[in-house]
Amino acid sequence: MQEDKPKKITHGGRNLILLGFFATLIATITTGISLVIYHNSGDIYLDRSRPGFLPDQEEIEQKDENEADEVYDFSKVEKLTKETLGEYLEKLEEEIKTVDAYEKPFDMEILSDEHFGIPAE
Amino acid sequence: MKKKWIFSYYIILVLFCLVPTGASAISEGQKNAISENCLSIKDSLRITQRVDSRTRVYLGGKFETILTKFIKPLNVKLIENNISDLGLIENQSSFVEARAVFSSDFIRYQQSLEELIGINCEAEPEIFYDKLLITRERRRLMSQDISKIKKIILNNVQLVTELRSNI
Repeated sequence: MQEDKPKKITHGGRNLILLGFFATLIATITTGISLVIYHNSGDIYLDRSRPGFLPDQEEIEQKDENEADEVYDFSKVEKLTKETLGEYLEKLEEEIKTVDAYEKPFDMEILSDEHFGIPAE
Repeated sequence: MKKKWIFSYYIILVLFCLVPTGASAISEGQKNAISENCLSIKDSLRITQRVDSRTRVYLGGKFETILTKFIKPLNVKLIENNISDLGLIENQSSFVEARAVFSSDFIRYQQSLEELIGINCEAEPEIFYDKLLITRERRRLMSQDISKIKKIILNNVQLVTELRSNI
């Protein structure tokens, strides 16, 4: 008659809890690191998918219109002639106009005492 | 002699008291105005934050287009055609540098603005005002950066016009 070998006791439940705990810990740490990089690199300030920073309807329509327009690219020009440089200047002037059309970027008045209703000393 | 020393110490002590410390000296009227208008000031700052984000993305995109579709390809084409124009190469370097400054200044400005919004202006109007002054200075730098980039672009137009007349 064979003697019964002692059964190996496994701790499946405990191991599952440990696995869950470490998985959550690693996910939390890596997410934290990602958020720190996202913030410190300044990408957060360019991210317009954040709540409150989403582009409005007018902006989306304007963007669609611009994308529909054929974008000039000087690298596609084959020969360097007076005409191609003339076209370059013409198209660059158009771009300059669109930059200038953005009126008073980072205007100082918006952070002035008067704007906030703070009286002069 | 001893009296003279004591008098000197007294004068120095008084001068030290008069020298402003970390917080800027703002009047009681200004403190009250900040505390009373705190909510509306914060709302206004949040709107500014959104508008500035839009401005940065718009202008950043435009500057990127000008660099990648105009300035860089033109210089590549000049090299391919064995035409040496140091002015245009310097112009490209200046543009790249100015654009990098514009991007880093924007991050510093936005960080300052974010900190400003985070300050409890109702309870700490002096600290808020100090931060407001710093944020204003950083905003002024943003405005200067854009003016500098515009000048570089106009310089590019001038240089290309000269090149065109020489071809």
